[in-house]
Amino acid sequence: MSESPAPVVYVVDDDAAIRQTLCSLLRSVGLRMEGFASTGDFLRQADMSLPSCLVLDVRLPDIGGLEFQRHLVASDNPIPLIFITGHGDIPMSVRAIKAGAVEFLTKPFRDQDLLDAIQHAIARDTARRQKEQRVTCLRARYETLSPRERQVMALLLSGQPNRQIGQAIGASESTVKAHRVQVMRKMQAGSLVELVRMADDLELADLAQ
Amino acid sequence: MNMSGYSPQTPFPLRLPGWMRKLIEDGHKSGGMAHFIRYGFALFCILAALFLTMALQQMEIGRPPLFLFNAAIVISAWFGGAGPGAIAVLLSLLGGLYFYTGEFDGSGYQVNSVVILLLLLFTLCALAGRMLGFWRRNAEQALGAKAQQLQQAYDALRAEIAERRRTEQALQEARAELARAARLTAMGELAATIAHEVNQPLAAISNSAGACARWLDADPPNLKEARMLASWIVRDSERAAAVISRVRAMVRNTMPEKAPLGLNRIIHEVLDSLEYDLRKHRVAVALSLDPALPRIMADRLQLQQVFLNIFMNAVEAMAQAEERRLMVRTAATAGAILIEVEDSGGGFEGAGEKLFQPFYTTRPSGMGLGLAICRSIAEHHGGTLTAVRGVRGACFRLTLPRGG
Repeated sequence: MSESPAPVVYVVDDDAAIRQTLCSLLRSVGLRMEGFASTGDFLRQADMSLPSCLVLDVRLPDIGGLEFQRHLVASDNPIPLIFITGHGDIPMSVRAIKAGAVEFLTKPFRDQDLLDAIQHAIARDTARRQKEQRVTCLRARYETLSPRERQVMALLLSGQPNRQIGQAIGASESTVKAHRVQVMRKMQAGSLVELVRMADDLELADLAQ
Repeated sequence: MNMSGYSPQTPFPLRLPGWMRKLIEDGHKSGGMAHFIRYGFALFCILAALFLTMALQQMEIGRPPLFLFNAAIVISAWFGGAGPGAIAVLLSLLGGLYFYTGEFDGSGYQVNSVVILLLLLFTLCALAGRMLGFWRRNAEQALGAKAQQLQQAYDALRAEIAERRRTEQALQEARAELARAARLTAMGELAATIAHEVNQPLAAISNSAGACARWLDADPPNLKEARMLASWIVRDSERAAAVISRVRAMVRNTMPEKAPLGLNRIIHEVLDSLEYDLRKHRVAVALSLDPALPRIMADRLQLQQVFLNIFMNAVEAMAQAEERRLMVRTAATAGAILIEVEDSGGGFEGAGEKLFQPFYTTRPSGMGLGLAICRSIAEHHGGTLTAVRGVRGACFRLTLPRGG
């Protein structure tokens, strides 16, 4: 995590005292926090490019926390959520967790519980960002392959030896070998196994698009 | 004789004795036994007329009268029908000849004219009897039809009334359910609001304390930050205390709007509003209300709340009891009005005072505020609310000052 930018914890709670005290608590464990009084402020001012998580009060002045969660899911915003509430009930927490929230805490909560949830949420967000970054990088590498090289790569991935690949694309074994070297070099893959793993990531990303 | 549409329970227009009614009904039937009765009755009438006329003749009051025969023919034709009427005419003719031919003995001409006269007279009587019978039967049939119509209308009306009663009951139940739901929602809302208002500063305090400990544990300890957090803890606990005192003020400051009130009526009103619950839990209510209870100055809503609370507690206390009896008594003493509410729910353990402590509850979902609030309302009215052990359960005793 050291090479990625410092994570930030966003807090949306209309109570200034809660924001203030949470800020000090998070600072005491070396976490940066930004507080907002409403979800509107959060959407306008929060920097979504940083690894982050959102601590959200269920009872908010403009729209409820659960409603906002639905809004985030609908707009493909993957920021991990931690709910805090003054009067939570079980159906409410079940709904929140089912919709993907990391944790649902009832005020007053133990500081360690919140910190654990935040660590977990940030780790999840960081992992997601790293994977996203890796996929973009792989896609950029894949873009540099010529159509012929992509064809050879597809046949390589299906586990065929050079001779058969040559027969399939109507080229000699030595030409296939040359293409193969190019694919491995451009994709920066050290072994066939590594290439397979890269293709896996790429295919997942392709499906997602 | 067409007797369709004539039901046995249809009332007769004329109140005839039972045997006569039976006779008429039999007369209209066409059975061997019925014929026998009808003709027998005609014969009996004529014989009766004959013997009576003979008796009159013995009394030497002049010429023997014919009116008894006339009457016998009319009755036979009326109740018996055409056949018995004709028989009666013939028999009467013989009877008449027996009495009258004696006077005109030996003169065939006179006998002939007497026979013709008597025949004429008796036939007229028989016709009159028949007419009467027809008229009566028609009237009866018309009346029967009318009665049937009335019966139908009556049945329809009864069905409608039953239907309306069912609808009304359903409506009442729905209304009671709604009122209950509204009561529960209002209490739930209030509880949620208070919980939120109190939990907010509590969460801030908890955060501050946690952060404070961490800053102190740091190497080197950040005393400045810790001191700031400590001051926030003080600030937020004051804020929590302010919420509590605001709630207390809310309860206290709703100054009772006092107006002259009849307590008996309020008790009735509250019991009415609980009718559904009482019925559902099969609670019998025994009222012993002093009709001469003086009116007192009190807040209607607050007193309703007190009674509602005590009654609901009683109903819930009796949920497991075999006998469920709620007794409400009111009485006026020299300086105060006494209201006692006793249930048969087995009562409470320990001191009655405990029941009035805030947050004391025997129910898992209860807040334990009901009786505490009731007592404070009683005290605001210058009265008292206590609990003692009754015969089979708890007895709540509310006193309110006269003219208070």
